Parts: sequence; C-alpha cells; structure tokens
Amino acid sequence: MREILLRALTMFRWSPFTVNDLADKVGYSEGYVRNVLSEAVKSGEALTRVVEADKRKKMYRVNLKVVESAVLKGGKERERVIEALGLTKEYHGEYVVLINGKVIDHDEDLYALSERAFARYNPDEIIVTNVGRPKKMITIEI
Amino acid sequence: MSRKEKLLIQIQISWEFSHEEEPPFPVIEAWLAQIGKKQPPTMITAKVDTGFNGFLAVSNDLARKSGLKPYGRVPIATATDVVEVPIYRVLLTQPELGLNEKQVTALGVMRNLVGRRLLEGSSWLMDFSSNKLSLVSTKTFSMP
Repeated sequence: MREILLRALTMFRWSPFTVNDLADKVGYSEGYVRNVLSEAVKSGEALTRVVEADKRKKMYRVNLKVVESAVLKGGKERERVIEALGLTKEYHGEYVVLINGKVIDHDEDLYALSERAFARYNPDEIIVTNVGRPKKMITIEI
Repeated sequence: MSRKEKLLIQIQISWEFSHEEEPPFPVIEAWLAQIGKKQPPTMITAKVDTGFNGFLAVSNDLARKSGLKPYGRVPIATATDVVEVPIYRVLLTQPELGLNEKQVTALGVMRNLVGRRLLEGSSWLMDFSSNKLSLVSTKTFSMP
C-alpha cells in the first residue's frame, strides 16, 4: 500500500476524508495528494464518492478489502497496516480478531480466540492476526 | 500389610509408524472437512509432533487441493526459525479421540502434523520394537 494511504488509515481509519483533509494532515500540496489519491482509486487501494451537498467535492476512504488482503498476505505490509491501525500499543503480544477493520476480540491464546470468534461471528468476515511477537508463540518441532 | 499396584494397559487402536522417511515416525489418521462445504471428508495421515503446541497442521499442498481459505496469518517458531504461516478453520474427525467434525484451527505448513492439544488428555504408547503408536486406556489395580 502507498505510504500516504497508510497515513490516511492512521489519521482517519475508515472515515471518509477529502483531498484537503489529507493534504492538511500530511503537509503535502493538494495537487500532489489529489494525484496520488486518483492513482490509488484506479488501483483499488482507495474508494471515492461525490459529496451530495457539493458535487465538486469528492470523499475518499481506504479500501477495507485491500487492508484485509495485506493482513492475510503477511510480511512487512501486514506489520505496516497493524501499525497504521494503531493496534501496537494496546494489543502488543496478542492475537486480534478483525472484522471490517476493527478489533472485536483479542487474546494471548490463538486457539481460545479462534474458538470464541467462530462461535460468535460470521466465519467469512473473521480475520485473525498477531500484533508484534506473540507472548504465546506457536511452536513446531520440524 | 504392604500393597502393590499393577497397571493394566489396554490398547484401543494402533497406527503403524510411517516409513516414508528414515527413521520411521509415528502418525495418526484423521478426517478433514471444510466448514460449510458438502464434500466428503479427506483422510489424512499426520505426523505426531510432540514439540507442536497446537492442534493440527496441514500441508500447503493439501490446503491448496482442498481449497481451504485462510482466515489469518501468524508467526510460528520452528526448530531453526520464526516463519509466518496461514491459519485455516477446519472440521476434524478422529473417532478414537472422540472428535466428530470438531472445528479446529489448523496451520498451513510443509506437512500434516498433530500437536499436543490433540494428544493431551489421552494415554499413548510408543512402541519402538514394533514401530507402532497406540492409543491406550489404563487401569490401576491394588494387589494385596
């Protein structure tokens, strides 16, 4: 994901924002932010819609599906998304259940957490990942 | 009067060690099915890994062929490294352990494994003279 979208995720989470909102927060020019967001919409990383009250304005938000895909893909990208979602401080060393990009449960034990999540929520919506190095790491011998 | 105790071990079921590698290693058979799919379960042979602190791991090949969809990715510590692996939710059947389509979390790794969470609570006999792993029941008798 583009760095600017990770920053948008940090600042706005899943709320919509305008080019001006993001430009103000990141300190880049509006023209640059508009171009980057336009490219992000084309690549599917961001979604956009026209503001009803002022049809010249567009609202943007980070595409949840792209974020979920990054979490499922793992690696550095997953770590950057976890950081951008602001989960590190509160859930460090734990596993978290994400539904629609929000933490709905957490536990140090992956198995206990998965039991609860699959008993309570729609299996197709559940995403589980770790925040930092798990305190209860799963080990295998081979 | 002193009393002696005797332990009666009764074998419930035995599995031959796998000879796919040297030395032979203990395995358990189980059946795996996808949640929400009306497909017959797949029989798997899984290596017993007492250093695995989870339930089950399935080979990446089996996960792909079965069309399992990961619901996350987590790090695991192997003997040599820490690696990220996908996690799947599957239905596990193992009649001798009393498991009938139990939902469990399975890791996606190089080979099928059963871990300590599946083994715990049961008594096992590892017989290296006949290369068999047996699930056993035990009973203690007091002898006069």
